[in-house]
Amino acid sequence: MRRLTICRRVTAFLFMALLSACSGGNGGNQASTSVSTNSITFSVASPDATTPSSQSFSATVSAGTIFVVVQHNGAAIANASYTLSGTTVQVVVDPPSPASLGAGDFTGTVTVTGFSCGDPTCSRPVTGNMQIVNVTYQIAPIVRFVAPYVAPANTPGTVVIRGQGFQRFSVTGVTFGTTAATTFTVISDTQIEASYPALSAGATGTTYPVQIQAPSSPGTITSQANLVAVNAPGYTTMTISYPSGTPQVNELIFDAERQALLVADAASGEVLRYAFNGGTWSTSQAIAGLSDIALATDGQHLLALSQANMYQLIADSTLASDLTTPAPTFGIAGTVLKNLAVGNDGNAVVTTGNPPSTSTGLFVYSACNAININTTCTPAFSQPASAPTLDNSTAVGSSDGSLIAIMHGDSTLTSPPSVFQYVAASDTFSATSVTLNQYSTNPVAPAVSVFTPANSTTSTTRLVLSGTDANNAAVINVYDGNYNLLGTLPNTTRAVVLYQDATPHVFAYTYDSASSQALRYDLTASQSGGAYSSIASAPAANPGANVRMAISPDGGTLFIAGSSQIVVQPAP
Amino acid sequence: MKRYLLAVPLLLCGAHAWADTTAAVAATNYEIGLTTGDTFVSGNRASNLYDINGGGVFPLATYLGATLSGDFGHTNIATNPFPNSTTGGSWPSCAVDSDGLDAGLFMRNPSYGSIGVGYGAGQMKSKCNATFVGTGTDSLNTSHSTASAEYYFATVTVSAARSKVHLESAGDFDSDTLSASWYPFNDARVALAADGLDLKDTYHLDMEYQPEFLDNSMSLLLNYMTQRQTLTTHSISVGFRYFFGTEVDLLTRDRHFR
Repeated sequence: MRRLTICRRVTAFLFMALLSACSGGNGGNQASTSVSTNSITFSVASPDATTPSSQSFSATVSAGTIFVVVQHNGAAIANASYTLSGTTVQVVVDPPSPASLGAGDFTGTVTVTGFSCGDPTCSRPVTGNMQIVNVTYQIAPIVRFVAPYVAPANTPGTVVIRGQGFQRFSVTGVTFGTTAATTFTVISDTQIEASYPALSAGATGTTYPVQIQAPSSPGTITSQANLVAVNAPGYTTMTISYPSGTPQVNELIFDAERQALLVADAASGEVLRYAFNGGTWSTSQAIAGLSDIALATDGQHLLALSQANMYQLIADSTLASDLTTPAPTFGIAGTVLKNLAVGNDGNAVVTTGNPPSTSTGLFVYSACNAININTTCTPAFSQPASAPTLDNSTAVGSSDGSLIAIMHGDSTLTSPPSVFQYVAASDTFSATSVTLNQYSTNPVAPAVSVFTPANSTTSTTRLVLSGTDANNAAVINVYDGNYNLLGTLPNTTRAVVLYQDATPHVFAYTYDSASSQALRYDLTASQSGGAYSSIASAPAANPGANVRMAISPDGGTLFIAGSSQIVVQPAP
Repeated sequence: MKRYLLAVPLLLCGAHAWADTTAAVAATNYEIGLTTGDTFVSGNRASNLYDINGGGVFPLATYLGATLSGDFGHTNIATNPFPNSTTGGSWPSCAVDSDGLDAGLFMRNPSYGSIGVGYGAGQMKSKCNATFVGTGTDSLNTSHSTASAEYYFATVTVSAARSKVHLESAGDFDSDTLSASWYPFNDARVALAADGLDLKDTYHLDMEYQPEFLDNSMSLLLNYMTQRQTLTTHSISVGFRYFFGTEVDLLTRDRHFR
């Protein structure tokens, strides 16, 4: 019995010793991972730049690794793909487009982790070491627009600067050429309000590149914005005859930079251009269904809207077509493009119409500026979520491009609809508290003015809106920025243009058909809904029907266009 | 395999000593278990495992028994390299599913010990952007063979096992495991184990408790494992097993029914 016990124990021991003595195996133990680099950096000049090329790195896993996990996180990475060849992992990191991120410093992380067998039967994995590759993506800020882009010479003023990255990178200064802004305020990541001192214009106007200083920005900051100082035109009183025919004037623009008048003639479908230097007319190509024109935010293109297309014309004497964008597809047959107003963000609000009373949508047209047109920019119509559906609407914008008022309505309505607005700072549409049917027996093109005095961030807003009120009366009302009714203008008014000076006083200049005069009204104070009285007047030749008005940036010269002629005279 | 067969003649010299043992498997024993556990690396949770398993032990002859078992496991892998950061957003999840079947044969004399061999096959499949090195795909087939031996003292069992795992398109993986189990009382077992060769520097502590108040039909499990290699990992798991029909104490179950 004792020998039996000893034999069993020796047998068991020898067996276990035999098993333990076995050797072999492939030597691989816990998964170990290494990478060729622990950081990757992408850098571009602005949010408008093209997407940078992908970058790659390699990771090597140890022989004990059974599987590899590659993960990524963070705004700096659009995708991280990989290929596995033996024990080498080749990882390709794709950055997102700069436009999708905007300006700023963005980070991301790519991890590569190897796993090995977690138990003797390899029924589950256990983690090895994780390698981390940090990704940084630097997108410098950009200055895109300044509005208004024309400044009267030798007169301090305030402009709105639009771009991207103004808060992501702390802005420490604003300059106009080599001249520092007297004050500036960063309103948001996309907007700065800046005041400039008196700027000289030289003999023919001077261009001042608008630039911001942000020391934390990676690299040079791109600026596409120029402020052009122009001398007061000083034209004497004159009338200008059209080159031919009887135009239907849908819009009148004074191009202060080039000292020219631009007329949208819906009758001929042409843009008419009168150059004061030389007193000559030139015309654009015929644009079928031409309905409206407006200078782009940077003043280098003329946006010409027809019923079916948006044209970007070179804003010089050639009026050559630079780009044509067809209208978006409308869901309702008979809908056409109607008119436009330009904001300070490079966008234009474009209304549509479907007479007599069908409601149709509003669109935003993203124009290309003179630098990126036909290169990195593709203009396009879009329809923001806040864009309403309105009845044959009409849009008009302030000279600083910050506010666009939109009226609508037709003769069949029994109650006036709400007036809408578009705020460029937020790219949003909203209804105002004013109800006014744009249809009127005495229609007057609306006018909007938003003015910020130099070294101030407080704006004064005035809107002059013509239409039919709830009492079915034809009115020409004056509102403030909160859409409080301040007063009225006489129904003999045929056209109006607004101008604010540095005091600030807000003036409305009108053409009055009853007196055949140009009148000036001071809209600074409220009339508590009552009628404003004119404070100055000057005789004005009869421009004809369908009158439109414009004013020079210094407020000294009026331009009054109608079907018969264009009247130029000093502002009363 | 030849090494395993060398053990047989050694055992034959003592074969006559088995004549007075009780059966290898007193009666068929079925059990099912659930386990969940976490693995930690550098103090952070690296993965989380949920496992369900079940099987049976069958008597074939007086000294011969057979086992058949299967399991399914789901391992969630932590992918965030900065788990304590409140910024940086969320990370995509990653998981691996594994399943397997095992079969074995063993000879046992409950008075002395047992020897046995086993074979199993399984698959791991990733549920994320993961690739198995051997196959270059998101799945990996595995197979393994195991030889084991146990020796019983009064309240201590010592055992050794040798496993060879074949990974699809990735070669073989060998490990030795030595363990010792102690029964402080018949319904509890504490075991220490160590792995070597390709799974070296891996240590286990297992505890199983089969409370009487549950009519000896269920046991509670607690496991701790640590690997000390390039990284130090710690794994903790808890679980339970349910036994169908056989209501015996744990010591008896381990030596006569499992």
